[in-house]
Amino acid sequence: MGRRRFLALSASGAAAGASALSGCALQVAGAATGDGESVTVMAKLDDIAPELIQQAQKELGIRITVVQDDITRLIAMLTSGNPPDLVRGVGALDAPFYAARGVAEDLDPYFAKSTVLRVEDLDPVNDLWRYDGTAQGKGPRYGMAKDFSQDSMYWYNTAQFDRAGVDYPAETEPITYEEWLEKAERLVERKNGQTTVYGGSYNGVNIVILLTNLVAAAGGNIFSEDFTRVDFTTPEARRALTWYVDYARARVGPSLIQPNPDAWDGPTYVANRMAMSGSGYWLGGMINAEPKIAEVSRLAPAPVFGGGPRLSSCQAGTGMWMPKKARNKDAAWRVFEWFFGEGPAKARAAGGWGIPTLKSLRPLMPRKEEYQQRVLRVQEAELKHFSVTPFTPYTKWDALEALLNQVMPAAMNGRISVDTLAGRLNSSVNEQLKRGKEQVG
Amino acid sequence: MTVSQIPEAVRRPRPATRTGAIRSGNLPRTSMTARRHRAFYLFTSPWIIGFLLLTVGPMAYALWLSFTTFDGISPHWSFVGFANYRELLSDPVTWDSLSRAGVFALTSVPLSIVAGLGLAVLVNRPIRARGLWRTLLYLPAVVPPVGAGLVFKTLFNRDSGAANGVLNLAGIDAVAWLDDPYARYVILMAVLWGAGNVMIISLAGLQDVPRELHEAARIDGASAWRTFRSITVPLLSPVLLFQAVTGMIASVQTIMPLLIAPNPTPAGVTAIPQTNYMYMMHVFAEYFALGRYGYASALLWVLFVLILIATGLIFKLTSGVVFYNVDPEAKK
Amino acid sequence: MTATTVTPKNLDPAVRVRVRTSRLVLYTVLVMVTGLLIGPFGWLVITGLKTTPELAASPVHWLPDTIQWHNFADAFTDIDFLGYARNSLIIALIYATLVTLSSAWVGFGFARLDAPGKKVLFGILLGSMMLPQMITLFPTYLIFAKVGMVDTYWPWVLWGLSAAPYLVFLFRQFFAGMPRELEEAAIVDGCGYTGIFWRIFLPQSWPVLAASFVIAFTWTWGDFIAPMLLLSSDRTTLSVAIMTSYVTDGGLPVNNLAAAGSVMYVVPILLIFLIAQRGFVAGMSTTGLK
Repeated sequence: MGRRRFLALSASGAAAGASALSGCALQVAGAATGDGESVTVMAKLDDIAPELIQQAQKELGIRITVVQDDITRLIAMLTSGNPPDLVRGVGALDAPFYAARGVAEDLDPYFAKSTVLRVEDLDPVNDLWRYDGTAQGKGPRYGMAKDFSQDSMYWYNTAQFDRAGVDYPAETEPITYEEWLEKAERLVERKNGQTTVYGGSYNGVNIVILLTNLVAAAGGNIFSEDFTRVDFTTPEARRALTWYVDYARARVGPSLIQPNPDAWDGPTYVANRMAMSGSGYWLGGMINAEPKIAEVSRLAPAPVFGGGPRLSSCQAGTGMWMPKKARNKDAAWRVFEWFFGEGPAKARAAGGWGIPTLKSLRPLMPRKEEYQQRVLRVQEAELKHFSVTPFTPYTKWDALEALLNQVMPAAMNGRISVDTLAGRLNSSVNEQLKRGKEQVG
Repeated sequence: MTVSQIPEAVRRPRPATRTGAIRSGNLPRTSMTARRHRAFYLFTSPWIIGFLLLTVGPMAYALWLSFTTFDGISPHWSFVGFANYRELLSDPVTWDSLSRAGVFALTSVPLSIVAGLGLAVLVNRPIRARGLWRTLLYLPAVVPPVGAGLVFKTLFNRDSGAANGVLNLAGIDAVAWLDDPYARYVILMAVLWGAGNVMIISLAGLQDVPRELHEAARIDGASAWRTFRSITVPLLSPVLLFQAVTGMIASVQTIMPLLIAPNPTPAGVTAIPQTNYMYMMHVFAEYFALGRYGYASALLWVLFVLILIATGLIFKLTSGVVFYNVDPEAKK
Repeated sequence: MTATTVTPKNLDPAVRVRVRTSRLVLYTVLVMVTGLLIGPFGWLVITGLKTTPELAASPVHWLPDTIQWHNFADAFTDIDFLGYARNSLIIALIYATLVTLSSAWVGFGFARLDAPGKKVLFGILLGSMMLPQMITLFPTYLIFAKVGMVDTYWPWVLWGLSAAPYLVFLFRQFFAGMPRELEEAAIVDGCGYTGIFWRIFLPQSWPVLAASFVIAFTWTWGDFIAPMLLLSSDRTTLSVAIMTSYVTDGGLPVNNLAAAGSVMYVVPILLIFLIAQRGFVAGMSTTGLK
């Protein structure tokens, strides 16, 4: 227990500290190193996997550093004047938010000059990333989607349909939402208080954009003309709300009052425990990996409300935008082009996790197996019915979701009526929108 | 040896002039005292500096934020004075979530102290491979919160979890553990799972109980329970008090409800079962989902003040009950 | 304080039977309780060995049909597990070493010295244990960003040097219990307090140093909030990587890999605790948190 041993230990500790102090935190394998310009991208860890970072270094000579996608970190970086050069965002929901607050760069000049991302080649889904100061879907482009699906569609498991003796939905003709719910009620299987097979899951990408689209499918609009207010009490909104509350009450699928502990439909569906899953083309990526399920899985067109328009929009359109205060815009644009138009985009298209956002890349979508070809047929037919359902710029979608989550369970449990629900939603959401309007100025 | 066994004479410091062993002549008392004062500040300076820069600074900033409507992104925010505080005091959600957090603290803290103490007593007995048992019992306490959340999520999954599997074997219908109204029990179990923390500290305290006291009690004919109740527990009371306070502080800040939620994101935090929507979850929702940095900072400051008050109350209420073997402050 | 595990032979038979039954009961309870506590962890391991369809199977699949050992290998190779672990290790070592030394230093001050304002400072120290961590999150990032310490180890160095209130309290209790004579003899020899600290008090406090180190190391290993905020994805720690990496291309969680990763993540801490366990308990006990 000598002094010597003690001093030796503390010295080595200090030495370790000192050597680490001399520089930054050590990078893990696959991080970009070496010379070249440096671009910081805020994304999820595997939006740009280490292999892609190496690829970028080789092909573009640019070092990409990925920062974990986190709103607090983004705000902190913006506040401290050193934002990332590219930021991940969900087109359907984020584009108007950031554009309206003047923090996103107008990318039209870059698109005009680009040979990789030609405007004629852009799929209409990229209009989700356009905002003209009032409405989403028109105006300058602030970003682009990396791939997309039409999220009101649904997958179904023919084996489960056969077991329950339920007719398959038609390949290109949509059924109504009411019919969908009916089928789900016949498909669900329960035992001992557990649900062994869910009849159908229909929750959209998230509850906010789902409701926006359901109301649009009923022929109405959640938002007012200028997007500063919502009204859930219109007949169309009430029709949509009633349907969704009925869906939850029937407990045929995961909902706020019966959450899926697997967090999403994927694991449950491939475990053969879900007859229908309200997910778009992208679920195919998961299904492809499990051949037994893949053989019996089919994609169906988005349902409609009787008498309502046939809409099949994209509820996500995840992509990237560029902060106005980014330091390295030209290098960032090069990375942007590469990510959305070159190697990475082609790999994504071939993986089957989404429809490419460049029309020229569509032939790369997987079509080897027969079920893949059938899925593609349905999907291509559905593309004709794509449209943008605009979202409000005056609040972040997580805020709206948090507010919805607070009130909806009571209605789903039957404790309050849909009318009361609509009233409460109006008051809490409108308050948040009011605050948002002040922030936009 | 414990402090109580140090002879009185040694514990009470004597003025330097009386030892008579000083070789360099009598040092004037004032210089000695001044030296001690300086030394005190020298030794505590790292904490003082770090505290000012890394804690007080940010807290002051958070306080300033609480008087604004800052949302982090847009340049259009304003000072609103006490409006945030007024709003949170009149919002029923604040009070509901606070009371849930309070109820949770009042149930989980005593239970985990009892459980930890029980485990410590168990492991303090003469058994083989004591170290192994201790490690095994402590193991759950070192599993990081994220891992613990995953464990309980998968265990209590209504359709594919082991808990309901066991119930089914016994012929009982499955329970929706992760939803209202059972979700709070899952959180409780998750907290008790980490009772190893309390066990370790209580174990240390148990080992400090002088054997002579146990011997004396046994000779006097006291039963094991009586010994425990009248000797062990009082001697352990400072340890237990310390754990009660730290446990209370930790329990009101728990994010476990979020970690077992199916959607552990800012948007999903309000979707957790109502019984688990505690104060910290509300703060989380206001901060990260609704982006109300100012309002959330106000909520956090209120929480801090409440914690201070609660701690003060705990100390006051237990001052008659807790037995201090020696008060370190008495050694002057 | 050694445990006697052998029934003394000079007791009469009836008593010996009673002792043996009570020992049997003791072991039974011990086994049951341990099973109850270890069970959930075992479930985590099993989850890590299942395929994705099995994870979601209903009713519950107790054991995987085929053990997917490769899940653990995948969890290890899909991400640079070792790289992240190395970062976690570096940060935990830096912080644990520095905070242990500085908390001992500060704790010594509170224990053996005094000055005007000591009571107030001590009160503030205890009060600072009650701060909700989240309150300082955002402003702390701003501060570190302004001085360019993001993506470096400096925040942990600074936090380490500033001592942790809980550990300061631990050391303070311990040092308070040591006899005055040690100090007085040293003063007589002309030693300053710094010398007293380094040469007398600190070397005697190995168990507490060990306990403090283990506590601080475990804290940091398990912390994900600070690294998530202050480190980029290519330099972050294992705790963040575990939380965010095991996802599908679409970003949705893959629970069996996450379980496997979590198990491997916990192992180092267990080993450390196993090794340090006896010293740890001894260290906590000599502080006599009284």
